Amino acid sequence: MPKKSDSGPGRPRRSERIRARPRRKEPETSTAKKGRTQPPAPSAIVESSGPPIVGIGASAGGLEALRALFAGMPADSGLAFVVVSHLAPDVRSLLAELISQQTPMRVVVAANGVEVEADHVYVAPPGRVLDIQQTERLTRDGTRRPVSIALTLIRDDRGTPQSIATIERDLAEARKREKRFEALIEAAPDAIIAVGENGEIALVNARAEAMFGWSRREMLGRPVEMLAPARLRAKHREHRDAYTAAPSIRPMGAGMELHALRKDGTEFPVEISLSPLEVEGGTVVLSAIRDVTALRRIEQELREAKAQLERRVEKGTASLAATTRRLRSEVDEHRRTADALSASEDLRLSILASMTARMAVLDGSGRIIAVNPAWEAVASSGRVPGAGIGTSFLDACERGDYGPVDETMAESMGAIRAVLAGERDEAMLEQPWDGPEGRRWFLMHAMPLKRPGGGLVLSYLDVTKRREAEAQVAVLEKLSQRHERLAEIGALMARVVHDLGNPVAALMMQTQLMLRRIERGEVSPSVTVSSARNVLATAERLDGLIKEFLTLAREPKAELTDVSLPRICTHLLEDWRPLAASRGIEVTLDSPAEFPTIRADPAKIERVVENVLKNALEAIGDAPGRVHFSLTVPDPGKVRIAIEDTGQGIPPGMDVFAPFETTKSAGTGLGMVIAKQFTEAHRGQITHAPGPHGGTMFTIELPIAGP
Amino acid sequence: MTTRLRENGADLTVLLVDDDEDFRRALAESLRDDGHTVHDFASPAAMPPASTFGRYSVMITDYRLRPEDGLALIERFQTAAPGKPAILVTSFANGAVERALASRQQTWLLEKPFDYEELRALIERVAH
Repeated sequence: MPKKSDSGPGRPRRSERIRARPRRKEPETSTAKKGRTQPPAPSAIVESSGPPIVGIGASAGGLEALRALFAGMPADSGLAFVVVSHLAPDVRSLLAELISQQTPMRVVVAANGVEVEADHVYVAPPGRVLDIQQTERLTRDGTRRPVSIALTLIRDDRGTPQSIATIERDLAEARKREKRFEALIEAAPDAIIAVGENGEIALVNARAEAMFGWSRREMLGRPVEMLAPARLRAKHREHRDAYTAAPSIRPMGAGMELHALRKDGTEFPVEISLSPLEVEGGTVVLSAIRDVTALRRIEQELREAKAQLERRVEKGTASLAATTRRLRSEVDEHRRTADALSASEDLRLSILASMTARMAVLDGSGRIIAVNPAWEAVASSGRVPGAGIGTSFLDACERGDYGPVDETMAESMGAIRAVLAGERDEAMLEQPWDGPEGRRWFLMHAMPLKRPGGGLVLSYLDVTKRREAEAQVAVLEKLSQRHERLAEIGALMARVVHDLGNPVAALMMQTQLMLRRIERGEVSPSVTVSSARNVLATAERLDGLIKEFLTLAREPKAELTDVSLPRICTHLLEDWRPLAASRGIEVTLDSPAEFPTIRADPAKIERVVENVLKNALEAIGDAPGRVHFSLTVPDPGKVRIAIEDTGQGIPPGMDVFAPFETTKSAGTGLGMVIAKQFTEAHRGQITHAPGPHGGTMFTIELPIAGP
Repeated sequence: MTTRLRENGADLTVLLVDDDEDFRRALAESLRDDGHTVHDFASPAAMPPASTFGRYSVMITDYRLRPEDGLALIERFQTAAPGKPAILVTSFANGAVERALASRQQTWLLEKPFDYEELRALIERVAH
């Protein structure tokens, strides 16, 4: 808030009482002033309680009497004399001259409006009414009252002056009015300055003195422009002349910032209102001047406050707008959510209505209480009137309304009963349905209603397509398995052909060597026999390779009998022990006395064990070592054969069950492949791990019940 | 085994590495019959140290060997005995092997099974 100023106009200041002080003009200054000022100051505001006036009228013959009167009249009587005669105009000055010869008093040819001074003689111009204003009449009771007196000659028809008429006006009332006017002006809250037509200051009030810092005396009679800043004075004169030409009551400089100048040279903003005032002797312009410094400051402060407020409002508006936007976006968000929710509700409803699944709601007793359109469509096309609503679904099933009561139908009904009875949480099963389009499969789903009185929602979803797809997948899987197998065989073929390279190359070289020797005649039985044995051995190896390949390529077809693993192992060990012993390898078997027989193909199981044994022997090589068999029953359903060797072990990352993966110099590389294939044909498992004595331990597990 | 000098007086010292016993024996016997000295090994692990490589005229090696394959073996051989010829015999020849061999000097490839006469001609050409 703007600071309140002590001198602010909003706070009325107690006026000083203006003393209505009649100004008594000194005759000297008045005279001096008169010489300077034309026309004279308006009588209305020039207060004078002039001297007593003696009016004398005379005709042409009264000259001598006038001379005698003034000759005997003291010059300091304190009286003013006014002489009116009917002399011809041309003798007017003569009269004044004649009188002045008789008296030292000053004799003046009076003009209208002249101020009357004591010890003066005023000679009226001939033919004129002499108007003596503002004088005083001494009344009989000794009081004085202000009057104005008009003296005029009364002429006859021929124009001959007959007498002098004195018209006296009592000025007391006028003087009172003037006083009131002056008091009013003095008391005015504004500075008041009156300016005559000549631009001189004719009147100021106390407020003006205070405002401008000049005293009354310093201002009166001086051009009003003294109160305007120098830069504005010429302009002010122009405006003043224009105003005098067409005076009206109006504010000065409407729409302009007006400035005034104090005595101390400071400027201050003012508002001025002008009003012309007709007075005797001309027009004066009354200016009411108001110092608006405080007002301007307050206006400025108000403007600033307003601007500040506007800024605040603007800011507030901006934040309000932001808030509004945020709220709007929240509303939008909620609306979207609501829309989405209602959309999802609609969606759910439409999903329910459009569901191809046949759905029915059963009450606790199994009566149908509601169905969906899909159910209705199927029911009405069949022999169930009214979609079965209100009737027992299970009874209808038993009557065969929903198809023949076969095993799956019975199972389905049992499941529904169980859910209705609360024995099962829910039931699901697939059942066929022979309709007009042929056999279709349905997934029956019975889900209990969590409500008093129970009941369930029953739905049948057509899963025919899925089942068809599953069947296709199964076919494809079979095909793909066959393809895989073919690809496997193809790969085997390629590997076998490759692997044939060594023995064939060996055979060729062996026979070529034999031939060369024979050609050279180096034929000795021992050398020939040795060469032939080499050839035979290589040929046998080729034969073995081919046989194993054939074994692999043939579909493994198990011929199941009761097989005793201890017996198979014992026989194998007996067969291989001599060869192993020749290389310093010990072969041992650890078998429980009681060992269960298993359902298996004895030839294939024997092949598995033999291949693992051969592998072990080859892993040990020519160095002394040991191969140990142990038979155990790890759990009631299966048996285990563990075969441990002291060989070189299997390098990390090597897949011994892949064809031709071998570290050995001999062998087909197919032995372990066959072992794995046969084991898996028995739904068994064959694995290997590093053995406890540095070599490898193979573990074969077979189910007792067989494949 | 008697060593015979052939008409051309060839008497090479051959380093032979192959894990197929039948093949290795047949090849070694054939080479010896031609009068060459043959040191044959079933695996790189069984080979003599690299410092001895310099005394061999030629190396014949299988490709599929463990732990290092025939190519690595040839590199090791030729590093120890620069400029000495090496022959890779294999039934597993493929593009990668052929390219690897082609990038090396003094190396040849022979696919199993091959006619011994081929090998004999190759050896006599490259090792003399």
